[in-house]
Amino acid sequence: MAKILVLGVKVPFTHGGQEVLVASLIKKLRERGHEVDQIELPFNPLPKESLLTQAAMWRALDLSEFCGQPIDLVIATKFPSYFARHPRKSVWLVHQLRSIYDLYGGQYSDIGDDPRDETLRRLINDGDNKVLAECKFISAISKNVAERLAAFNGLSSTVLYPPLPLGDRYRTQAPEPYVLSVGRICRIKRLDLMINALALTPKLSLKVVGVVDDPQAMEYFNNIIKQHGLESRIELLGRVDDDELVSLYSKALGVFYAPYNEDYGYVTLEALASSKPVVTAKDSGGTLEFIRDGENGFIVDPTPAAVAAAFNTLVADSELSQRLGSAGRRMIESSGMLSAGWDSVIEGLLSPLSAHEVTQAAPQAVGA
Amino acid sequence: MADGMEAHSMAAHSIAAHRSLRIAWFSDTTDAEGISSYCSKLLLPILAKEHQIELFSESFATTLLGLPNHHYLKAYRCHREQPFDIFFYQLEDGVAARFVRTYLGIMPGITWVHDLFLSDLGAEATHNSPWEHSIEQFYNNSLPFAARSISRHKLWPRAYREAALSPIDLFSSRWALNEFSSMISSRIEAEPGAHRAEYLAIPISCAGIAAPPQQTPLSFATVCGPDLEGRAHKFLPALKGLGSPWQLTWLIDPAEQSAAEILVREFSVVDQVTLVLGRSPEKWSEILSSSHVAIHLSSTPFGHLGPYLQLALGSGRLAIVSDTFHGEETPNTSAFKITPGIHEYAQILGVFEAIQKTQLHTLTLPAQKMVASENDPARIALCLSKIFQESAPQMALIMQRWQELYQSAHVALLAEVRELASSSERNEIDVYKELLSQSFLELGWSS
Repeated sequence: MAKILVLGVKVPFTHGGQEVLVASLIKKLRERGHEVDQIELPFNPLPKESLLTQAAMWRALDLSEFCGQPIDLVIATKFPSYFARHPRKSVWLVHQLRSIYDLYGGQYSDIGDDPRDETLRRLINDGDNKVLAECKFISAISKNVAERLAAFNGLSSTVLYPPLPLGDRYRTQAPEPYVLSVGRICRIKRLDLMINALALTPKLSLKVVGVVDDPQAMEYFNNIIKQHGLESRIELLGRVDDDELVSLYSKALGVFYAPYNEDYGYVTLEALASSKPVVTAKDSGGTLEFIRDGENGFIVDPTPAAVAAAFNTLVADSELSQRLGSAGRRMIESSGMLSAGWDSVIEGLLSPLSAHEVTQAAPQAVGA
Repeated sequence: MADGMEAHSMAAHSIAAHRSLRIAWFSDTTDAEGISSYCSKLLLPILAKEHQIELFSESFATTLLGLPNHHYLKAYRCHREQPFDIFFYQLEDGVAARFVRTYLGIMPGITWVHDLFLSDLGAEATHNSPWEHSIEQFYNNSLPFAARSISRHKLWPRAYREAALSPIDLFSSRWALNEFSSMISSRIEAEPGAHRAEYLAIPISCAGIAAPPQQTPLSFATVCGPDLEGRAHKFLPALKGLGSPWQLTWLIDPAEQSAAEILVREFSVVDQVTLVLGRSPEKWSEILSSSHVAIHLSSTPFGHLGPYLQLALGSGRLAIVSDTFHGEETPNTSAFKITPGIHEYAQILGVFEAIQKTQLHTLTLPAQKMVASENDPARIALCLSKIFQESAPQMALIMQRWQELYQSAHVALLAEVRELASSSERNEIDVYKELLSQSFLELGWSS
């Protein structure tokens, strides 16, 4: 059994897919008898010049041993945790600093043409190339993330889809006339598409699960809600516990999930596991690895009219809605994305250990 | 300059007489409708024989148009490994070419401006950047860097920032050059004579376009949009007013289809009008092969008439253009010109009737000669090569100074980092010095 540190990055007061991924991974490693702990440093995207400091903080950590006990492996997840130094470093890449890569030059990046910004971009890009190449095993949570890594950094990686966090707890029930949206509330998740679409889907209401990550975006969304007089048809539920989340999925007519170029998107998989069709957008990135247009959901233009048309189709044709949902569930079951998928994930992430003699002997039973 | 070159001096000039330059060619190559893509396809095969050209685009493909291609965000690394002599940008309005707009502020070069008016502000981080301050700093390196987090003014929709950031701007429209010269250029002179702006025509290839058909009925073709600026609400009723049979092939974008269909129904010309979807120079060339007259009445500062108008003129079609914006520059001897306004319908109808009655083709020969001379791809490539050669020494100096600006930016960034790391009142140690400096050194972020 090995001593392993999982490296997480925490934006205080937010909760997203990475936190779920780290917690699930730690749980599954422990179930397999490994001694595991989490190292987490806070991450603050602002001011942007502090990004170098935060990466250097990770670099400055000595993770090789604690209290005389050597650490056999570290598993990094997202920027800047992979800047940590260790002779056996695996990375299960959630994402890099996207504002200098795939989001650069667009509305979701704050990196401009100020020479200091460009210098910052180059330093982090060069730094990424160096520290990611150190990893003994490089994996990504989706094809989308793996492709970015190959394209921008010239590094190949293994795609290891994170299995569903709640395993086989997802279920389905008779649909009620609401759309479910799950995820952090910020601009890039594009909740505004659904809010505007709701004005065109009079038979539906919207339930939103997720905490506000960007107060300005929430203010904008609230303005749209008021503008269309949708207050009575939208419920902002904040963060909910697992049981309630499963219940909300199970009774939804369908799930809206159309972020811009999403890394992976647990929500897609959770909806499919709950036998619910997903409406996503053509530019939604990782979700497109799972959604097949007209088979288990709809892939539409990122416009309110197109989103509304998809949900109105589901309202009008309950048989179709059920057929799409069932196809989604079958896909999840056949893909091994329920708890069975963890074996391959852990085998990959722990592969640097196979060439290394684990220094810590397996704990012996008391009295042996 | 390029426009005024005499033919004999052009002939005397040879690309091969000069040294081969390394050129970073930033251009969209994917948008079938795009003017940058069209120009690249015609010019690169000629220029690449004499220069080492590498493409920079949003594509991750390793080759495009038979040349090495890199994603544009890797340009700094490519330049670091093997420096380029010239960074060349083709700027046009549209999503596919937006990356050019972003990057030309990162590395100075020669910009071929196809669209002076841009239909959106672009990314806020770029548009709202201290680019004017960066230009001032470039000429005066004693200036400190701009304060962070200041909202800056927006000059819209002219490509003020884009044109200002390039020391040499080429314009593919004389109208746009005049607009730039009168409205913008005087405001960006940081040093006398530091900025150059010239006209450079786009290349046109009329190969494959058949001679105008002999048979009747009179056939028209257009690429004008169905919006107000496209003037379809004027030319459709004028066509309907013709006494004898006619037909129109209307090349539009798929997004314009419903608007075009509404107009066609409104003017009851459904039987005479054929809509063709997917605007591109290739499709336009096909359509011209079976058309007598090309309608280019678009009246807007946005967009560009090329290469569609020149393809029509160069292939011997009669053309009718708006005497506004880009249409202004078309010589009166090459096309019928229409002034938008209350007499527009009557003018258009008058021209159509004249063409119909007299089979008027007196304009086609001078227009064909003009395009063959001015838009010849070999000639444009030669002009461009000459511009590259002439500007290479100047660009080397500019790049050196730009490099110095970036060295200062690096120093300024590290100073900001140090200040942030040590700014907390609770810090009793210099966090940067005690904890982080070693990592910065090891990562190559400081020396």
